[in-house]
Amino acid sequence: MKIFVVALRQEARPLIDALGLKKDPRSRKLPVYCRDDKLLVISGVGKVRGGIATAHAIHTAGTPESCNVINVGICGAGNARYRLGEAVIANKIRDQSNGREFYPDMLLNHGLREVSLGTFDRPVTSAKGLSCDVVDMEASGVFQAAQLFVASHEMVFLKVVSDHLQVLPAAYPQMLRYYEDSVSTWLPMLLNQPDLVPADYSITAKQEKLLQEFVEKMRLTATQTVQLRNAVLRFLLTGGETLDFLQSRFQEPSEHKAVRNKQFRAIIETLDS
Amino acid sequence: MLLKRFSHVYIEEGAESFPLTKRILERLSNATRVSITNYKDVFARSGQNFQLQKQSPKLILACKKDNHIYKGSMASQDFGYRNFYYNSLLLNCVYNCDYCYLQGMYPSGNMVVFVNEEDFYRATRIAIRDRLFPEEPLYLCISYDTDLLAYESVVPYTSRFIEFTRANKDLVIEIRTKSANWRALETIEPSDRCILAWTLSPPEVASQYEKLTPSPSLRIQAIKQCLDRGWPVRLCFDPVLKIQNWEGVYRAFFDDVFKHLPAERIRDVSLGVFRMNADYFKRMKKQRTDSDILYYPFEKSQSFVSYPTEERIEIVETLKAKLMDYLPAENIETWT
Repeated sequence: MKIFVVALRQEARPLIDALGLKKDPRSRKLPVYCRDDKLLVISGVGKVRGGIATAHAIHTAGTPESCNVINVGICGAGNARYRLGEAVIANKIRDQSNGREFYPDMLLNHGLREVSLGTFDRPVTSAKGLSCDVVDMEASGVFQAAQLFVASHEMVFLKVVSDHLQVLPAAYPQMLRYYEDSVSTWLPMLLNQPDLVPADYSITAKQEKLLQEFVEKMRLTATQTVQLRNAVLRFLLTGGETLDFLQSRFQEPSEHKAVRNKQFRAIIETLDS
Repeated sequence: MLLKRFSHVYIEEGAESFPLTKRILERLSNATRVSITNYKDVFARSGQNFQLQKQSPKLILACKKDNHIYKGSMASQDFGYRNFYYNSLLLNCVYNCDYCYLQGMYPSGNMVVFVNEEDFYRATRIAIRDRLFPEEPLYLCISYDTDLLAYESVVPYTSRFIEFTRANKDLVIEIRTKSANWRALETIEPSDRCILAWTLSPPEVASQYEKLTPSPSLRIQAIKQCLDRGWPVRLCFDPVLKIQNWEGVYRAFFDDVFKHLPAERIRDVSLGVFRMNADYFKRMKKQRTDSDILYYPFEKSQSFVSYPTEERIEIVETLKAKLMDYLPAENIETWT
C-alpha cells in the first residue's frame, strides 16, 4: 500500500485526479482518499498534524507491514540553485525546533536531486543562517510517526520547490502551479518504485494450515512447535517440496503423551534426514 | 533499480578534516555526501532492514570517541597469546555471509569507517606498554568485525597497520580476510609479526552461504602469492558447517587446499565449528527465513549457540585428524 501524506488540499488535488482516488466517507476529521493499493491523507499544516495524519493513514490502511509512506508537498529553497518547480528527495530531515535528525534509507534509484530538509514550526522567510537545502513544516512529524510502523526504507520525502523563501500571499497561486506542473515528472517514478521485501522464504498458506492442524492434533508444546517450524523451514529451504506426509502419517495420534513425543521426534528426524 | 553500493557517504561532524576522510571521498567522488551529527543517528536508528541495506550499503565516516582497543573475546581463538586484543576500525563488512554474527550484532547493513586512526595507534601503544604479560608481545586482531583487506583499495587500514606493527616490536597483528586482494600487499615488505589469516570454506559452502566473497580457488591463489612473498599465513577453517556429507566435502577440500599450498609454509591452522552468541543468533533468525543454516537444531550453552556437543566433538576430531595428514597437531588450533 502506498500512502501519500500531503499538507494541503491543493497539493492533494493533482494526486487525487491522477490516481483516481475516492474519498473515504468513514474518515471525517482527516480527509482520506483511496483506491486499490493507494491511499492519500490531507494532514493540514505543521509537523504535529503531519504525524497524526500519518498514523491515521497507516491505521486506516490496516497493513503497516506492507505500507510505504510518501510525504509529498511544496517546500522553500534557501538557494537559487534549486529551481522553482524542481522536485527533490530528502536524504536527511532535521527538526529545527529540537535539532533531532532523521534519515530515510536511500536504496532505490529515483533520478532526482537529493537535499537536506529542515522542518520548521513557522514559515521561513529568510535564508540567513539556514543549515539545510530546503524547508517545510511537516516532514519531521511524518517521519517520527511513520517510524513507529514502517522501516526506514519504506519512507520517501519528495518536495517540490515552490519559492526561494520570499513569499507573498499574491504568489500562492503561482507556487501551487509549480507543484501541479511538476506532478507528471515524479509521480510515475513513485508509482513504479518496487516494494523492497527481504528475500524471505514464506511457508505457504496451505502449508501453514497443515502445520497448525498438526500442532493441534499432536497437542505440541510451545517449544515443540518452534522445533517443528525450524525443522520445516530447514526442510523446505534445502529442497523439500511437500509436507503432505505430515497429514498421511499422523491421522490418529496416540492418547499417550510419551507416544506422541516419540512420534514427534520421528517426524523431526524425517524432516532432518 | 537499486542504487549502487556506497552511493552515499554520511560524514559525521568532526570527521571531515581527517586525511583518511579526504582520501576516501576522493575514491568515492561520485557518492552523494550527507553531513550528520553523530554516526549512531544513521547506523543505530531503529527500523532498519539489515539484508535490504546490504543490497545497497552506504558508507559512514565517523570518529570513534573511546574503546579504541578491546580485550579479546572468549568466543575467539587467542592462539596461545595471553595479551590478546582486538579493535574495530570498521563496523560491518563488504561481504554478506549467511552465518555471520554481524547480522545479529549490528542494527544496520551499512558500513562505518572510523577515520581517527591516530587514536587507534595511541591506544595500541598504551596497551603494549601496560600489557599484563610483558615477556610476551601484544596480539592484536585488526579485522574481526569486518574484512579490512577486502576494502583496502578505499580504506587502506591493512597496509597502515602493517607499517605501524613494523615500528612496534612488541606487537603481533592478525589480519583476517576472505579477500583475494593480494595485490594490495604487493608492494609491502612482509613482516613475520603480521599474520595474514584466510578464512576458507569448501566451494559447496562458499557458493551457498558466503555471498559476495571471492571463490575459494581465488582465495587460495591469493594465499599462494602471499606465501611466495614470505608472509606468515594462517588458514582458518572456521566456521565448519554441518552440511550434507560434510565429512567428505571437507576432506576433499583439505586435499585440494594442500595440493595448491605448501603445508610446511603455513604458520598454523584454526579449525572451529559454527558457534554464535545466542542473542545475535536470535536476532538473525527473527530477520530472515531464507537460509537453512539458521534452522538447524542447535544447542544453547552458556549464552552460545552451536551444534550439540557430541556433533561438535565429532566434527572437530574428524577434521583435525584429516588436517594432521598435512600439519603437526601443535599447529592446529581447534575450537569445539
